[in-house]
Parts: sequence; structure tokens; C-alpha cells
Amino acid sequence: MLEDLSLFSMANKTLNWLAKRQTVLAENVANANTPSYKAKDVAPLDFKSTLARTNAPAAAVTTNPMHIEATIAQPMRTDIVAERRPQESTPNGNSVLIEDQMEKIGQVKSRYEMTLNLFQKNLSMIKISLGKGGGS
Amino acid sequence: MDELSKSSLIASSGMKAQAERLRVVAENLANAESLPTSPDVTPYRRKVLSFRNVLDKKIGADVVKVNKIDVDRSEFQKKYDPKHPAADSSGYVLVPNVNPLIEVMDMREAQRSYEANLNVVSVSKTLMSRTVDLLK
Repeated sequence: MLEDLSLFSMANKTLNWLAKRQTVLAENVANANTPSYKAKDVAPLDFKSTLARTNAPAAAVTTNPMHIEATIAQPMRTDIVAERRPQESTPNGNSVLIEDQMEKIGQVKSRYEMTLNLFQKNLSMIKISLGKGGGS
Repeated sequence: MDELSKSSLIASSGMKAQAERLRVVAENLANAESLPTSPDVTPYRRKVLSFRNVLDKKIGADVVKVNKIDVDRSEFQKKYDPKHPAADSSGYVLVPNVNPLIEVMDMREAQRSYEANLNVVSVSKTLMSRTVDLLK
């Protein structure tokens, strides 16, 4: 129900994306000493690519009047990309920089918390408009 | 399984791998002075381990595993000690090919990687509990 409000669906998408990124970063850190492992990251969540996807939804083709027209909910796509220009790599071909990964994890953490706070704030605003208090 | 639990699982696989590495380092350091008992016996041979990343089908991500514990094939050093029971006809004893400096550096690296993985686990845990706090 809350998903119908654009702000909540936006927060939901951001949280999903951040959680996915956390998984990818965890993979990188776990493989920080694996020979010839290349660091990965999730493609950034930008407006343009998201819009392009929403405007061209893939739906099942109906070729028979008996077919039920199905509108498929578009799952959010998270593209995992290899880091393009690793700053340095070890002689065994590993390109994971622990410092870099820690910085990214910190970024994920702060953005996740910011999104959660926004979510909570909006929820309490809705509660105020319903006359139930909760303005704290 | 949600992404945040996945990242904790991946990081814990990294911690396990680093702990095993630390065990090998301990073995090498403890045996740095394990001299042979007779001239035709070889002394302790340094052990090395390598990592590889494996796709965990259950969580759908690359986790890290210990590839194989192998031996260091470099030559043994010699020490002149004609009174030793393992001394050869010219008075030299074979000494294990363990370099304590290399082992200590390896230990430090394992420690850093372990800490990085621990950090991933704690961040994932914080994010998870913050999400659960939305219920409040």
C-alpha cells in the first residue's frame, strides 16, 4: 500500500540497491587475497537508465483473445560491473583495495541510514495527517 | 535470503579462510627451528596456502575457499654445526625454509583482511537492525 506513494517506492528501490551493493562489496572483501580476482561494483542507480527501463516495459505478447493480458512488474535490475580502472593490483592479479572497499561500505551505510530516516519521517508525517500524533 | 544476510555470510567465509591462513602461519612459525634428526631426513618444509573464489549456489555469490595447502619447494638453507646429529660429512645441517619475517608479514595481512571482513559483518548487522527498528 505504501508502495503507491512515490517517495516510499523510491526509498524501497534505494534500500534494495544499497543492500545489493553491500553484498557485492562483501564479496570483494572476502576475496581480498584471492589470486586474479577482480573487484566488482554495482552500476550506479541513475535517473536516465531507470527511466529508460520504466518506459519500455517487457510484457507478454497476446496473440489469442483468450490470452490474459499480463502486465509484468518490472523487477529492479542491478547490474554488476567490474571496476574499470583499478588503482593498483597485486602481483597475483588481485585488484581489491581494502581501503577503497571500506570507504564504499561506509558510503552504503550512511546512505542506507539516510534513506531509512527519510522513510520514517514520512511515515510519521502521514501519521500526523491521520491525527494519530507520532510527530516525534 | 535477503542481501544483507548474504553479505554477512560472504564475509564470514572470508573470515574462515583468513583464520585458516593464520593457522598455517602459526604452523610454519612453530616449526621454524624443527631440525632433522639424521643427515638423510629433510627438515620441516614451509607450507603455503592459496585462495580461490567459489560460486555458492545457495546465496548466488562468490565466496572464498582455501584452494589447497601446498608446500614451499624452495631450497633448504644450511647451517654449519658439525656436532649436530643431522650434520652431513662436511658438517652442515639442513634448516627449514621458513623465513620468520615473511611469516609475520603474512600474519599481518591475514589480520587486516580478517578485520575488514569483521567490519562488513558489523555494518550489515547495523543496517539490518536499523531496518527492523522501522517497526517501532
